[in-house]
Amino acid sequence: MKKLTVLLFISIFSSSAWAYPHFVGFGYTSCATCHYNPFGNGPLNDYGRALSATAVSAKWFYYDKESEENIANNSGFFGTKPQQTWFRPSFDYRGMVMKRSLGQDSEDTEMINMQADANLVLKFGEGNKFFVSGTIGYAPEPQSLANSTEEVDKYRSREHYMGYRPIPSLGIYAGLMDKVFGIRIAEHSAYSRSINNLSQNDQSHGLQLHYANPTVEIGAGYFVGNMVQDADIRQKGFSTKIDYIVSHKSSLGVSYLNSQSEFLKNYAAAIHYMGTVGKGSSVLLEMGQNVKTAVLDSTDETKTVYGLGQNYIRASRGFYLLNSIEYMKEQTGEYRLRFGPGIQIFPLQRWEARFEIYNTRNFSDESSTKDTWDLLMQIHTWF
Amino acid sequence: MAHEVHILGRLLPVGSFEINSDKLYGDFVLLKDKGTINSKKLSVRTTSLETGIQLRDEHLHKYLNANKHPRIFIKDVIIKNFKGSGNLTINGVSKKLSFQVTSDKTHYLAKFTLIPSQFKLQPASFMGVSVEDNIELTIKVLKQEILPK
Repeated sequence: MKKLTVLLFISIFSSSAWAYPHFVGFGYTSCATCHYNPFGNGPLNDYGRALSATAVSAKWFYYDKESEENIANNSGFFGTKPQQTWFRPSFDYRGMVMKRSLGQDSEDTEMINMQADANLVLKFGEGNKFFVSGTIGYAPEPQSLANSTEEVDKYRSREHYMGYRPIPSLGIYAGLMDKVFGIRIAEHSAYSRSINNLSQNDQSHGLQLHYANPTVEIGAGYFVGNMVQDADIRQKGFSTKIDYIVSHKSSLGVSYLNSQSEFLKNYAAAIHYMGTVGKGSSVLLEMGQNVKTAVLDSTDETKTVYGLGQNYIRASRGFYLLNSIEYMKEQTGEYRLRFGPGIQIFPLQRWEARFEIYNTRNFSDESSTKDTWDLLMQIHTWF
Repeated sequence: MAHEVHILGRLLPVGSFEINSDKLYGDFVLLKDKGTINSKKLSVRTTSLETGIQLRDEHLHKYLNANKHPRIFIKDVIIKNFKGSGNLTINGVSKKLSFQVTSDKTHYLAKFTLIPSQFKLQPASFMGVSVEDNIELTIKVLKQEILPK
């Protein structure tokens, strides 16, 4: 039971690196401006690192007269200014201390190294039209498995793909990537991601297209599952996401995913909204439905609807207040509600701290569980 | 009260940003007998233009040569039947413009597309992201500031 609880907490609270769609609050409706992967997640490009250093992170540890230009120039690998255009290594670490079930007899505290990734991007051609990106992630063994004989892979490829943008508006990508769907929020196991099998380790080999113009952004992908997995459980299918850029400060989108393995059909559809509220602040909304059906028995079907709402309030440069509310309801009538406030701080470039408190409740037609409160403290750094 | 300037720029490969100033100054007069609105000069201090990000503001002011050309202005504005014209000067380069005027409750709005390179502005680029040589400029004029002559 403890093993299950720990794994559940890791999955609920851990975050994947560098996927912060709430920076739509700065007017960036597309992930492609700051990330090599145009749908977000994975390493930041040079512009994204400079933006993170100068717009997102505080200046608390700099002299007042330190120029923004210098801060941006020092946003490269280990605080350096890149001397060439083609070689971009990076490291990423995220650790978490969590206190579970605050105020209850079962209250306990645990430290988890959630993520330790090494990435390399190589860029080629005129205007760096070609690039390859590969990330190896160290996956620490959960404490709960310390005494287990179960083998756990300690390293895995988070992504490895090549990209080609023949023209600025169009990109073609092939390899192991996250699937295109919905808002790629940092909390990879939020209901909007876990229900749809879009979590930290759900990348899939495949081909993706990205197109963007000032009024629309379109992503589409055909995937064949993660080739490291056993062939019979690989989900093969396609997904797409279309965003209408309402203004340069907000977008409205729809997503669709349809896939199947030898055992399971997986279908998902969602609508989402990302918008700016004031200077640097934002609102993210997503609502969707997922249907999983057993291939051998079509009556064995699980329908789940979910909702996600997040808002980030930029109190000052480097300091955010965040609120999150999530909802999921299964066809049995049972539903879960999770919400909580938090603080996100970027005290200086390449460093992030998050403090969040979550309340979770489960409801069914007959009963509802007692409130549980959990405290999460994260440190995230990248070089 | 001052009038406003809003500029929408597009980023390459993807994205956009807005430049704003609410410090556009100038006098308008309504010539009732001719049914026209005139302004001899509307101007905005170049360094009053802001993008919401300090580094981008610094780059913008440098890009617009704010030290050498501290003001952007439009002269000899004539608006009649919601059609307008005027001479816009950016970076010390003047161009005659024609534009349509629309109206909301509080403002008259003039919107037009500009090609920055026509004002001898060099291509703007930073860390692999560049700005399209095509921007949308909107001028918002407070109705209550238009005085009858």
